[in-house]
This record gives sequence, C-alpha cells and structure tokens, in this order.
Amino acid sequence: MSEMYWLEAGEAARLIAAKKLSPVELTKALLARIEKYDGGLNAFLTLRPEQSLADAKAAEDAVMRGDDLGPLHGVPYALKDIIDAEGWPTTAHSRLLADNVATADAPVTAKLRAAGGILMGKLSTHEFALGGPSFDLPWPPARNAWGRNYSPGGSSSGSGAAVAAGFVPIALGSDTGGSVRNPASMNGLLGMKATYGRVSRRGVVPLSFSLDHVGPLTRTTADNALALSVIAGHDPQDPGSAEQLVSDMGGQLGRGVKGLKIGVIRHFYTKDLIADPETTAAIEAAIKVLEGLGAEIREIETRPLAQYAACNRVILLSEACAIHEKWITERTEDYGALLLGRLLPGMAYSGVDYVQATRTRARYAAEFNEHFNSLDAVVTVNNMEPAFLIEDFEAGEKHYPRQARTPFNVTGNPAVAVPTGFSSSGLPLSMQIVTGQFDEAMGYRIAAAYEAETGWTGKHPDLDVTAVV
Amino acid sequence: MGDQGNDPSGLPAAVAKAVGPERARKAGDAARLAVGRLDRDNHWTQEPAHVYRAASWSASDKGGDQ
Repeated sequence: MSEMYWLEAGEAARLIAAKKLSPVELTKALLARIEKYDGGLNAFLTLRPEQSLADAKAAEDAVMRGDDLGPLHGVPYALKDIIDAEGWPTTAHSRLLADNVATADAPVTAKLRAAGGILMGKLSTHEFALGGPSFDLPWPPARNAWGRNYSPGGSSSGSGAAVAAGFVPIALGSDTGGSVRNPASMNGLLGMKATYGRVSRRGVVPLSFSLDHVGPLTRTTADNALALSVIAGHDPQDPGSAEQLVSDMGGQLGRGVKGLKIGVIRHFYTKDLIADPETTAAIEAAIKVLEGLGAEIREIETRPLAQYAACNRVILLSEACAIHEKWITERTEDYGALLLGRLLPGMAYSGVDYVQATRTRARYAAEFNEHFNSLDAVVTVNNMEPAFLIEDFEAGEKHYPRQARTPFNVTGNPAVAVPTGFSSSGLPLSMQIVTGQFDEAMGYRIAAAYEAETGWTGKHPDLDVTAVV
Repeated sequence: MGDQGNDPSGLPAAVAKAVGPERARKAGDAARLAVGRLDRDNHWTQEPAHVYRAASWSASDKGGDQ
C-alpha cells in the first residue's frame, strides 16, 4: 500500500480488522518515515522501535487468532512527554525530570492500550507544557512540518508536528491555555480540548490543576472523535473528573449543519485583537460555508479577550507556581530561561488575586453557557496569525498572547480547532468550534460537515519540500 | 518558604534572590499587568461555589455532585 503513513486511524483499524493491513507493516512504515524525517523535525524525544514492533506483532497475532479487537487495534499513536506510559521516560522536556521514568500508565495511556493502540514514542513539548520553543534544554524544540523554520506551536509541539508529518495518526497533547488547539492550528490539524473533567489528567505532569485538559490531535474529524471516545470517561482518582457517561463522540458525524444555530464571536479578532487579514478572511469564509450548508449564523458578544486572559493567567500561574515553588528556589538554573520567565509572575500574585480569579471564572462560565440556551455552537478564531519563525524569539513572545483559546479553558467548554485553509505562504490557518458542556459530539458534527465541504484536512505537507521552507 | 518577605518586585524575597533582580523585576511587571486586568466585580455574591467543581456545571442529570 502506497503512502501508508497518511492512513487515518479509523481506516487503518478497519483494514487491520479485515486482515487487509498488517499492524507490523504499518508500524514499520511509520518508523521508517520517522527515521527519515524526524531528524529535521524533532517531534520525538523517545522512540523504542523494537518495543513498538513487538506490540504490533502481538496485535497481528490477536487478529489472526480472531480475538475481539478494540477500536484502535494495531493503530500507532504517540504521547506528549508529560503523559505517563509504564517503563517509559516522562521528562516534560525538562532537565528537572530528565531521569524520570513512569512506573504506571496514565489512565489515558491505559485506555489507548486497551483499545489496541501501539505506542510509538514520547513527544517533544514546551518545557512543563509552558516554556518554549526553547533552545537551552537537553533536547531541541520540535519544528513545523509545513515549514521547518517555523514553530509548530505549543505546548503540544511534538504532537502537532508528528501528526502533520505522517508519523502517527493520533497524538495526545494537553491544553491549559490552548496547548492542544495551538499546535492543531499551526499544523493544519483537528485538536480537541473537551469539557473540563471529560478526560482524566491522572498520570499527567500538571501545569495547572483546575485548567489542565488532555486531548487528541488528528488529521481528520472522524479520527479525533474516535480518539476522544477512547480516552474519555470518569476517573474517580482525578478530583477534577466529571461523572459523565461517554457517548459516541462521532455519533452525529454525517448529520450536517442544516438548521443548527451557530453563534460567531467576531469581536475576539476584529476588536479585542486584530487578526491578520488572511486569518480573518479564512474564518469569514468558513462562516459563509456553514451558512451555505444551512446553519443559521448569529453574531454574539462575550467578555473581552483580555478579561478571560487575565483570569486564566492568574489561576494558571498561581497553581503552576505552587507546583514549582521549591524547584524555583533550589534548582533555578535547571529551568530553561523561557519557562522560568513565564512562571515567575505567578510568584507575585496574592492569595486574594487567586481567589478573585476563581470567582471570576465561575461567573464567566455561567455567563458564557447562557448562550447555549439558544445556540448549538459558537465559532471564533484560533490564532490571530499563522506560525512564526521558530528562531525569532520576539515573534514568539508576540505570538502567544494573540489567540482566542483561553476563554474556553476558563469556561471549561469543549473547543475543537479546525483547519480553515492556508496563508499565502503555505502555512495552516484555523478556527475553533465551541459547544455546550459535554456536547463534544456537536462540535465534531459541525467540523465534519465543514471538512467534507472544504477538504482542507486532506492536504499534507511534502516533507522534502517543507524541509527548506 | 524560608523568607516570607517580599522583594520590591513583588516576588517573595527568597525567589527574587534565587532568580536575580532583572528576572524578578520583569516578573513583577508581568504580574501587575495581569492583576490590573483582573475583574474584581464582587457584586456577584450569589455564586453557588467559587471552588471549582466540574460536575456542578453539567446540564445533564448525570452531572450531580461527586
């Protein structure tokens, strides 16, 4: 089979179950691609080809025996290197955890294994899911598959690069202020931050206890729904986990958007911040597509972005500093400069600031969710511009606050990043589809209708060409 | 933390000492910027709980207190 590396997870699982595709051959093909190209992308921190191939052989044996197969049986995946897999390193891309080896699977890893997935490796991340792209860490930062001189976003940087490059069809990342949706945006991928509490965070290095989410990055909507269906579910040992039944996240795919009421938050990208013209044109075109497919579009207003951002920042950095306090004073020089600089403001907030931010958060969430009494979903921009040159420090510092993702970490609503095309320089653009609490299936329904109409997700980078962009 | 006093930057003195005055100054400036933008409207006094509980936000019957 040619170009096996672009096979989507669901399709690969179907072919494997039908004995038309060997998990061993699929794993070999992806390992060969990683071997050929990852030297320029740095998506992976740890690979264990022998172990992955052994797991693939066991998966193949199960197929041949006629065993019951999980929904990802024989399908390769990879994990952001803050997510534990038993016996594998979990470094958080930091000197501070360089020697840390996980003693057990995180629940999300265990679920992927139980579904039949083949762990290919651990992926590059911004240091502790906050500081990056950094060049002063033990490993280099991941680069963008659509242009190697560009950042792949972050903090789930390797997750975005690996899926876009055709190294794996599914990667998990984490999202505290947008860290699944940012690399999804900059790599032309689907990236889901599900409802707060939908996916267990146990066994995942925390950044901010009350804002952290784990979510999948994939090349298609159907794969994203499949991956979330596998990893979602209540975890009584994660205090933030919601006691919700997991429905079929892809259960509404193919139903279209006719008659759906979709709100648009334009002031995020036309007033609170000004997006670049190509980003604005792409989301406006996307809104027209949805309208053309029969959705009823209504412009809505929410709080300004700056208010959500301040709330997110005070909570995130206060909680992060509670985690890092001891190391900041005792192992200061083991931090990358970017992470330390981003963490430190959290040491200056007062207890009152933190409590006011949490009160504000509850109010903002209640206010925002009122919209879903009359709307099925809300659409808004993701990043305000495409990827920046990875070695341009000032461009990176300017880029990260110019986004509209933090509101939905604050409110806890599901938000899925969806590709909206490409800039004139060939870099991916993205929007977000936001839905009511625990209504991820609606977000996927709208994303799938848009995907079918536009075909953006069918485009892949030519890694030989993008190596010099 | 051993030294609970604050540095002029607003960081705890022990942290400011560990990271140096330039990093401390920048961190203090960034913290003041975010805090200055924080919404402190306290008239919303009827919040059911400002302590975060995801399940309490569920619209579903399954989403009761854990």
